[in-house]
Amino acid sequence: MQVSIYRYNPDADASPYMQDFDLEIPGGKDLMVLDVLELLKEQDPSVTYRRSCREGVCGSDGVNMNGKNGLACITPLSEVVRGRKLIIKPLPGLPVIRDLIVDMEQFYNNYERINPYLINGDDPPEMERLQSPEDREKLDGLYECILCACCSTACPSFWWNPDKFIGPSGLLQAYRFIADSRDTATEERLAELEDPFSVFRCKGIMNCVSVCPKGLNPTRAIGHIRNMLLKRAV
Amino acid sequence: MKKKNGFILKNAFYLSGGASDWLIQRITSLVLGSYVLTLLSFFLINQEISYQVWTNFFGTGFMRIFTVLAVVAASAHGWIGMWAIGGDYLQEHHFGPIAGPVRKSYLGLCALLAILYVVFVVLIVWGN
Repeated sequence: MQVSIYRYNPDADASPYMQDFDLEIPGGKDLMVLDVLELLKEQDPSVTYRRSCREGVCGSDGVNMNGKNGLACITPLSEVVRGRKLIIKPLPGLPVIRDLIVDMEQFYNNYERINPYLINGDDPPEMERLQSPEDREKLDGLYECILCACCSTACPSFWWNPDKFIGPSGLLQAYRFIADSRDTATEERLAELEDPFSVFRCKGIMNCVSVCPKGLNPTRAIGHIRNMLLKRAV
Repeated sequence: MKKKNGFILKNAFYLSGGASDWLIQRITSLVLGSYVLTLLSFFLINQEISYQVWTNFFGTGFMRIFTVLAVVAASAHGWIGMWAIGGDYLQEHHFGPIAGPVRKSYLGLCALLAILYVVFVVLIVWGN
């Protein structure tokens, strides 16, 4: 199998380039893309990428595989390889630090903007803030986000205005706290999102839904926030 | 919001938040859709259209007001759309340091066209 990898070392390379490797897959197994990267690293130790848990929980190894973002550790070759060729690039739309590693600062800045923590001005209870099973259910499909950035970096609106449009990941998290019955800062949260860019720059392209490795639906969450902002405005 | 080249993209109408632009686009779409349906109905009902039939149709008070309303809706709708396109594609990473002036010129041209469309249609519909 031919594997083509995006290479860029800012200390040594004038510009990025693609490096091709011929790789024999041991036993013809259906390896995960991360396993392929590990095999390549044995051939060329300078190949650089992030990885940690290797089971789709930490969100470290988000990369672009044959044009689609995903987590290398839970993406089998059979899912992405076409014509015995695999092209691996860093997540698009973020500055490349080296090879497949991108600078996530903008992504985290946007996450920080939505105040990703429970805000409750009431006196803290003795044990814990209780929630009914029905209210808890409202958080399903929201809290599971692992901040891998696959969705935001697949979003054209984020590519064009990364400093103004929060992006699908941040907005999914924003709705996770807006929808939380224990959070009392809904009005303040909505007020911070009412400008024309933070939420309304979403054009419903749904790349985020297509690539989310956890099967989440940021477009639906953005729709909920938009409806709340519209109700608030009229 | 980060300031770029002394020119900040706010919302298209500088009214309130993004909700106003979103609502204006949907309402103007409804107006334009209704206008198109009205015109289609006119063409279906009148198989042969003469100058007299045409002027009689557009000479009614209803069609005059509706036509002006439609062109105002088209201008408003177009302005919001063009403003959004400018915000996406006329940026520093495309045009470098001249992105601000390029975007200002583009938006100025769009605004001028939007206003001219309305002025011309009002003159055509209400003029002699």
